[in-house]
Amino acid sequence: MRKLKIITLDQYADATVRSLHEEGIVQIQDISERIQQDAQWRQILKPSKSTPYTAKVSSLLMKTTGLVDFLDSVSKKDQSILNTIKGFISPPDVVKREVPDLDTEELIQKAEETINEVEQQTRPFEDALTQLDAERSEVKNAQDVAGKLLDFDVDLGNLEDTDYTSVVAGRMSSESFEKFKEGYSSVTDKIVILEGEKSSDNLQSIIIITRKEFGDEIAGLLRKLEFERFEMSGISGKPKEIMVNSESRLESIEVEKNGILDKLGDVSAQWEEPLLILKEQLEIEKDRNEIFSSFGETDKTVMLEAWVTAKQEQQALEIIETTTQGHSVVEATDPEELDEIPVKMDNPRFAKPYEFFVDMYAPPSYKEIDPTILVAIIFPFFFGFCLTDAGYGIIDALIGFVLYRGLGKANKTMHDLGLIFIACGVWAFILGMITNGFIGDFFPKWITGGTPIFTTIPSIDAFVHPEYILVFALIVGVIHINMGLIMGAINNLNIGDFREALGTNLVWIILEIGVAIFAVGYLMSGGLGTLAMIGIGIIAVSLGMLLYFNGFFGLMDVSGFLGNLLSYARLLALCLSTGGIAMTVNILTGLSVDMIPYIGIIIAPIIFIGGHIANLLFQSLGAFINSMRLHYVEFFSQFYVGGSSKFEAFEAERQFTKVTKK
Amino acid sequence: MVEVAIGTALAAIGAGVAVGFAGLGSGLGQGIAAAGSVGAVAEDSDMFAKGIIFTALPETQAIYGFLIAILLLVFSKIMTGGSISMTQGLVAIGAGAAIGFAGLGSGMGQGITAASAVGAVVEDADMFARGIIFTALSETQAIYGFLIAILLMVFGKIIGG
Repeated sequence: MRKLKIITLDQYADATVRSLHEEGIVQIQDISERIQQDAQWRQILKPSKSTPYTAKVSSLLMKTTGLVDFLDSVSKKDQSILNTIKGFISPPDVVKREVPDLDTEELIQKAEETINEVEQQTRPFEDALTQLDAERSEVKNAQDVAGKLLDFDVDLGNLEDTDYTSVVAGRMSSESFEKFKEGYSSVTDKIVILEGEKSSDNLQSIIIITRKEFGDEIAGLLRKLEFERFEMSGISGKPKEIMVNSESRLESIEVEKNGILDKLGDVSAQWEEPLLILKEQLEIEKDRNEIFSSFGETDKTVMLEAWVTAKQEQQALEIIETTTQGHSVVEATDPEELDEIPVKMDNPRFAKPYEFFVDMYAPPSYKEIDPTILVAIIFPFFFGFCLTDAGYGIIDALIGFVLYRGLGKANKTMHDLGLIFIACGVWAFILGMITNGFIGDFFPKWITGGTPIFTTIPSIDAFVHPEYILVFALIVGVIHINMGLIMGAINNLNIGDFREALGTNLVWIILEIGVAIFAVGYLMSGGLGTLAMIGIGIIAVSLGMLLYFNGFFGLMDVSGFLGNLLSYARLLALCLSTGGIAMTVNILTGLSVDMIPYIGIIIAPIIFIGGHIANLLFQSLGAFINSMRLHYVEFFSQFYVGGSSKFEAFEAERQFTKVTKK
Repeated sequence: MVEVAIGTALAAIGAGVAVGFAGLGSGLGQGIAAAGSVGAVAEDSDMFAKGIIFTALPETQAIYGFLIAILLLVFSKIMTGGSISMTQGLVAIGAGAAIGFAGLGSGMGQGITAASAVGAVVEDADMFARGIIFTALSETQAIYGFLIAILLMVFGKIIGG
């Protein structure tokens, strides 16, 4: 990683930003804070601000995004299952439209024109929809009230307050109504109460007319008795008429709405792509205008700092040279001690999908070895070891292939997952074939009458000699952990921390050597011969080192280390669990054929296919996660620290557009 | 029908205890961890993958229990109709109990830690690595149980007998 300090004249600043953004190979460092805090810098530079266009571009971007979302919600979508599956397996290629390279003012103008044009088309439709919705809720309310007052053959428009009377319509429970009948006389007897039929849930509809001066008191009395008052404003006509009219009016509103939505769908189809293109251009423009706030400036010049990888340094220098026509000064240095150096992972193509694994744990720090390549080789192997079923492996690899060629064309995560699955599936196939696992015991049970698959190595036939596979798994664990220890030691020596290398990494290797020599010596001489004594001696040395470097708790670390080693036994456990459940599904299928008359033969394939698909999914998930866990907990903890920030290029993200070269 | 020998039957008890209690602890633990993850995902839907990882961590105990149970089944020859001696069967019960109860406690403990770790990661994504390390600490007990179970099976001559 190299650090570039660039000073150029004001008039070239915009062009420089544009070309660097388009090329996307540098990360701009924010120096405005440093300028404010450091007295020396403050004398020469002021922190720069975003250009005056930024606010305008931002608000246009918001409007465009709103329009895009709205049109998306009214677009006509083809929801058939066939199309969804097609979309999954081979989505249409996104064609990048060519657009001219507009400068900020031109773009703002174009944006305003486009937005106005679209709004002119959508605005009348939107207004009509709002109006129809308002009408619909009015009609529904009238329908609701009329339904509750069906017993009253009176024009509901008449049920309004007049000069001398106040009218209340509503309903309450029968018990409350009885209480009301007892209580109203204390207020007044100049009152008319009209009762409707009692409804099935014991609610009584009532219309009450009383003299205006008593209106409030009666209303208060009713409120205490939990009276549900109907809202009568705007309703007219007799209840039965209203019911009939409402139904037909609601239907015609729906038809009108659908017609408008249809027309909006057409607008959406026409404008969706141009608006997406505009949105992308505005986003890019916004980035370019905002980045100025990370710069410093003087009267006539602008200064910026950027990070670039050593590989692309020359390219960056050339771009700056050409765009500023030589009117620039660039100082390229190695990163300084106290810098927060961003890290860009640079791995060969086959390992790139696994960068995401390493990242999720922590992005690697600048001085560390990047473990991604090791993960790329070992992870699929562990996955295969955990799944160990050739049939399932084939299916997993196929799924990976479909993802890679289908969704993976547009979506990077799917692309990476696809490749990972293919690798995992292949290893599962290989390891399944040598341990006699192909959809469980499918072959021995039904096809070959007990003989294992021809590629099986007899000593690691899964259910016959699980102990050998266990030993193999533990050996794999020892190798893996020691790889981690060695990498940890190298990392520590690289940063000059000799003590740490000795105390946390090499000490375990010494312990292992001691145990190995002791074991060999003990077994060879059947007792505590010289070799065994040497072994004990080395063990004692390593324990002493633990005590010396880590204090008393260092000794407890031994059990932790042992635990890490034994953790690899899960490779065997998962291998057996896949095989065991697959065997069970096969047994159930066989039972279904043998024991259930007639329909047994029909149910059997369902059990077989369903059971194995479920097993495949669960075991694949388990294998994936446990392999990942072995990397994170047992492997990475031996050496990996991580912690730097990732290199984020200042780049124009173009999904829908590409710039025509002038 | 040939009756199952008493030694083999005792080994079957061992297998049942192994997978039964380890599964109990693991199940409870995963439930607690999953409960924490669900809440985290509601807060931040990017947490889904990490939530699944934390929820999967307490599964280890069930896997170990299952493994010991399978080993007992295979080597007690219950599947092939063979037999082992009664004393070997008693040793098998010991092996099963070792992993069963160790897995029980370890699984629940891991679940509680995993749930808290998920909460920590939602607050601060840098906590992911340390969260995993904390969650993996309580696994040691299960590993002790597993190791003793294996040693019992080896020295009780169940494996390689």
